[in-house]
Amino acid sequence: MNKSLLVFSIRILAMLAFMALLFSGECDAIFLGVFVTFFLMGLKIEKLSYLSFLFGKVQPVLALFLLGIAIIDLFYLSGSFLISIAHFLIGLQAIRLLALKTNRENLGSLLISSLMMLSAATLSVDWTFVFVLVMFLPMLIWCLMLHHIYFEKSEIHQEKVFSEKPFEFGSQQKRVLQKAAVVALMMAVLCCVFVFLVFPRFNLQGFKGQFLQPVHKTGFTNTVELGKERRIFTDDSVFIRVEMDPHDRPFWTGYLRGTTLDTFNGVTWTRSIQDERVVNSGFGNIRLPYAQRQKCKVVHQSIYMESSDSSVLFGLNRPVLFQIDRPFLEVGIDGAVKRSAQDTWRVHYELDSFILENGSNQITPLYSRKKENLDIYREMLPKIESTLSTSDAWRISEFSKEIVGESKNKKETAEKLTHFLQKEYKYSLTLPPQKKHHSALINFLFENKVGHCEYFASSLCLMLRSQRIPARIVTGFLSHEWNEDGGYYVVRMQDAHAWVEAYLDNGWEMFDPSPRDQRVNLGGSIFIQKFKNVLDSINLAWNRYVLSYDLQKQISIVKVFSEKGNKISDQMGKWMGKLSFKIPQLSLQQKKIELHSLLNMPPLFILMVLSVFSILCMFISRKRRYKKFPRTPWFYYGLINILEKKKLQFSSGTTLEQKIELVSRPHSKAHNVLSLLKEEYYAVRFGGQLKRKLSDAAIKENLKKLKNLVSS
Amino acid sequence: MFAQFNTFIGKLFKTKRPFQLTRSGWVFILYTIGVGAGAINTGNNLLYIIFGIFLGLLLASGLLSDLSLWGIEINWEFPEVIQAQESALIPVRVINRKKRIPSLSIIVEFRGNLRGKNISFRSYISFIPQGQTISTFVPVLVNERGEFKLESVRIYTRFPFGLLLKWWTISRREDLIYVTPPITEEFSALDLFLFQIGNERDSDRSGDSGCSVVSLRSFHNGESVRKIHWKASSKRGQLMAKEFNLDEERKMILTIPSTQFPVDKKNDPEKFVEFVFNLILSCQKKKFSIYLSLAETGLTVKENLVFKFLSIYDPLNFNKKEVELFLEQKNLPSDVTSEINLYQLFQEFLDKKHE
Repeated sequence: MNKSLLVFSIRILAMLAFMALLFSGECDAIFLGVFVTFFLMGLKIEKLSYLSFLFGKVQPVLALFLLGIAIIDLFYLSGSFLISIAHFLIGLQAIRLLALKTNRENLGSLLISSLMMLSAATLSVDWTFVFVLVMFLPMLIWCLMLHHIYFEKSEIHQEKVFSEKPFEFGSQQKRVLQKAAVVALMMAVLCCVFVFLVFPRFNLQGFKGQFLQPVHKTGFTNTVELGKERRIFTDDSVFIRVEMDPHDRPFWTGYLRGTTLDTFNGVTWTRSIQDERVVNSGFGNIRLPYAQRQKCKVVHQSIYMESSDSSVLFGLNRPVLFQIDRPFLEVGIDGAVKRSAQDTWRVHYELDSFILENGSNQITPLYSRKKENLDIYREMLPKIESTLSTSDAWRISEFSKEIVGESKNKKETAEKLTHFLQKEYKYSLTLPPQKKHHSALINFLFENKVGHCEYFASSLCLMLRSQRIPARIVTGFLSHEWNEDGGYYVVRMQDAHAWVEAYLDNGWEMFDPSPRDQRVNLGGSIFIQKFKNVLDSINLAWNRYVLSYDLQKQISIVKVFSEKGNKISDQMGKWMGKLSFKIPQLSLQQKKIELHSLLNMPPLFILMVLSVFSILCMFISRKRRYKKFPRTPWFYYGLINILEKKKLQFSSGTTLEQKIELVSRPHSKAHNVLSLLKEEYYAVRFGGQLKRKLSDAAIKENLKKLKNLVSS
Repeated sequence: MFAQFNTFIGKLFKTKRPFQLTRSGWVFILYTIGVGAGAINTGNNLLYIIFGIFLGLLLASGLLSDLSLWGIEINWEFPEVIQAQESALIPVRVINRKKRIPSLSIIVEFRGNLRGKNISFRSYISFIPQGQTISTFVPVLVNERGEFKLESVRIYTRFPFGLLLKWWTISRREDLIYVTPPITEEFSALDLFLFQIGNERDSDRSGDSGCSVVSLRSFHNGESVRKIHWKASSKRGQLMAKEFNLDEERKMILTIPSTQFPVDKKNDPEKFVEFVFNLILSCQKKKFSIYLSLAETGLTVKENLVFKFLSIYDPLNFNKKEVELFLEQKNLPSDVTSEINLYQLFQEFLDKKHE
């Protein structure tokens, strides 16, 4: 083998690590470190360890540099402490790798670095991870094998790694090595599939898993801050995928409700409600304890949500039953549902929601165990005067009065205000310059009249409150994007939306004051759109079958198998039902046993019997095959018996050749016969039937002869 | 501690071909456990995938290394005597009896014991095609004299990833290699010393009478003047010395006194044995016939077993039973050129050296 093959392989590995860096979208020190390591390692092997010397010298400087980066990451880039430490250690390891001297350490470090990359890649949950993994794994196996073969000899013989004499590595050996790599790959993949399917998903949450959270999260937050531009509205990455029955599509309003915000300080909307913990009642079912239940339609949705900065769960307006792999959920009096505060990891949940047949925007029934809680909450909502300055509050109040005029009821007031905002104001993500002495909201309402959904919702909410109608902001998503290829709704980050809920005579109702054409169309040809849809549906499949594979699915698979087993046993029972026989008198009492009663047993037992039966069949067929092509020739044991009768203590590792040698020392006459039998044994054992020289009769004769010679 | 744990694991999975984790293997296992724990804790399915792949690679390591070792046989021929501090080669024939599967990255190891120390010799074979035989050599280098007792012959491999070290003890056949003392620089002056001693004693006893001149060579300083061939010297213009045929005529008896070896700072028993070995070599170079006798016992070391005897001879604790095989009752020849008391000679040599 010339070293170029190894160098080439390591370079390919470096390239793949780089691809992982690109694909994952996690431009992280981990990937970069590993990529640089592999690349330099290729150089190092090529340049006969000159780099090792160089990096050995500057190692402390590089370590200090890395420490500096880790500190900057921690304090200035607001990274996690654990991740900063991990970056530092990984970087240090990468530098150390370059300064290593022995080949064994090189191999170990190569392995560790590769594994680091693989593990780090798990942070990128996109399906492209598999794409990279599929390429990376065979390359890694091949590289490790080459590295092993290449360095083993030099280590054993303490030679220079790249001596002048080339290492013999023929094409045949290369082919064998390739086959071995394929075997290793197959085993790795099979074991991976087995572990993936069978290993129970405990999801212990023993520690919060901060280290394993995605490094970069974008999007939804629990607050709304006016006057601040938010990137979420221009981010077209998919945040939620909602699967639902095609028949239920007419009930899809496009609104995915998240949380409500009720407290405003002039700039920021926050939430003041205390949540109540609702515990999982088993098998992931968490039923929300509604005050009243209506006889209405229930829509089922399967929601795949990516990680975000918030732990809020999204759904239709009236969620009733969550099926989620979490021990508890926190539910507010406003109907907002959250996971635990630190749990912002990607999640899949099934959701049942009530749908009012009349298409009403009514949010009732709202969650409350006690009705008085609801009233207290309603009264608790702050008045407009307490949140804005007196002049601003008066201005808004007067403005609202002017718009509303004389309304018959609260609903009409709310509708008039909503329509006014929709008609007279313009939706835009780019905000015009604001007058400094005015707040962002006043600027929007009375000066610019241009803003995005948060401004519209804030304005309506405050205008309603100025008219003594309790109101609050709701944040969530609004999307109508249907993926034809995958058959699901796509909700992107840019679909983040805010609207208003007002407490009217019959309860809370939603009003969306934003103009309808708010959605930013990113454009693109139909072909590109189609391509994107296909890619996204692959992503959903990846989500559904891989990322969201959990204990419930495992249980359901077992259930499916068990049902199938039941069916088989029933079928067999029916089939054998007609057959009944009498067992001859085995015991004192003769019993009539019907076969179908025997077969009507638990499917597990049937499976066990079937497996034992199949093992037996396999054993018999093996035996038959070996009879045809014997692995151990029939005369072997005869020969061994004769040899062992000499009472020589053969240890377990003694080969036939050595046994023969030991016996033929005192019995030199037997040497020829022994050699003949030995040759015949090897011919049959390793050469197949065709290479036999002696007939069975001749072997028998020789054995007899040997017996006589040895005993004499 | 790791070694104990490794042994424990080896016993737990007691097989014909046991295994041991290498350092990389331990790191790999710890890493796998870490990933597995992370998977269980977080329920992240990608970690389960990685965990499965790691386990698969471990399994593949075990399987491929086993396949490499399976069906391998070894034949070897041990040299009877080798010299300490001098590399020697053991010819080895490695046979791959497998019908279809070749063996990759095999290491042949001879493990044995030399003076209570475990010693092993190894050789690496990168590839053995199926059903074929590879001939190779195992390099041997031993630092001290003694009797190398072969305890086992193992083949082992770290193929394919260097995670597991799997071995197969092929044979426990008992073989011996006698390791003679080394030829050391310290005794390089022995030739000259011996010559001087020999000449003195030659002249005392019988002189050069009865020896035939075989050839001529340049005269070296310090040699006896009697050896100068004056006629040839005058012809060639330089001093020429006569070389005699001493094969049959010159015999030397080296006697090891029965007294206890005098141990002091200068007299190291190991050095003494080295001295005797180097002396015998020098004598053999000079074509002396050597008789190594044990004083007062009437026993002589068998002529062809002198080196073997020296490899295990202990001047401090001489045990006759240990070396019984090498001794014989033999009448020493009367026409010896010189008879040397080895203790005395050793002392003289050391004294001269210090002068």
